[in-house]
Amino acid sequence: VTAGFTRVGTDIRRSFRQDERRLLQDLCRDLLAMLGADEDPVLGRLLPDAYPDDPEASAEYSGYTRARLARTKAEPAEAMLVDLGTSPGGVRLDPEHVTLWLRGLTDLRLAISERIAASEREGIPEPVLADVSDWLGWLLSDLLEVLDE
Amino acid sequence: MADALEELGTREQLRLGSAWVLIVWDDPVNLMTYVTWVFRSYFGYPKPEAERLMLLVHNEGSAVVATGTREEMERHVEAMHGYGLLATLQRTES
Repeated sequence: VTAGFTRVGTDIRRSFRQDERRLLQDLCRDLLAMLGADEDPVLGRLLPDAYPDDPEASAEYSGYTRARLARTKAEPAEAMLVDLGTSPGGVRLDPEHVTLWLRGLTDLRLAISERIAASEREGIPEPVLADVSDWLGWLLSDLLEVLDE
Repeated sequence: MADALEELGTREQLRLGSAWVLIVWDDPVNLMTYVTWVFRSYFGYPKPEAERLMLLVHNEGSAVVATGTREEMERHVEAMHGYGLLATLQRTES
């Protein structure tokens, strides 16, 4: 039986089954690969436009923020990989890592929803990805609830 | 006269200096509780204010979440994107 996130003092703990852990690790690695790519359909959502109505300002802004933002967005996935890799039985997150997991789970969901949308545009259903997205949403919701207690 | 012009210039700068807004947009993926958490943890808003803004985004499609100089709003936009929220900035219509 896999329990949800539980609070342990200032930390939050959760155990993962091996298949759950591997899935999260794969998703994090995929996200890091996307962030490292020059072009990916998902990047439009992960690194969005700050000035959608002003192409000139938009180009200037992304010119000096894009690389930094891509690094910022890699941090949560990297932290999740470290947390999942160092304690296979379960993770124990201090407040800083709780924040990284909240951001990371969110970015994983954003990336997956873009993938699902892209497939749907071609008429391809993605039931497995939709289930994964639901599970990530459930994890995120649970973590937020425990944090708010 | 020079002083008056200088003062006018300063006033103009102040006016222009605060004439930008940060807009957060609704999106179908982000959880309402997550958006509330972002507003609390990044802006330091109390929970009721964070929830009010989140509901404004959710119900109206977007909300002005901060106002200030262009530089400040660009910093906030970058932070919001870091959290995965859809955010833009624009000059206020006055």
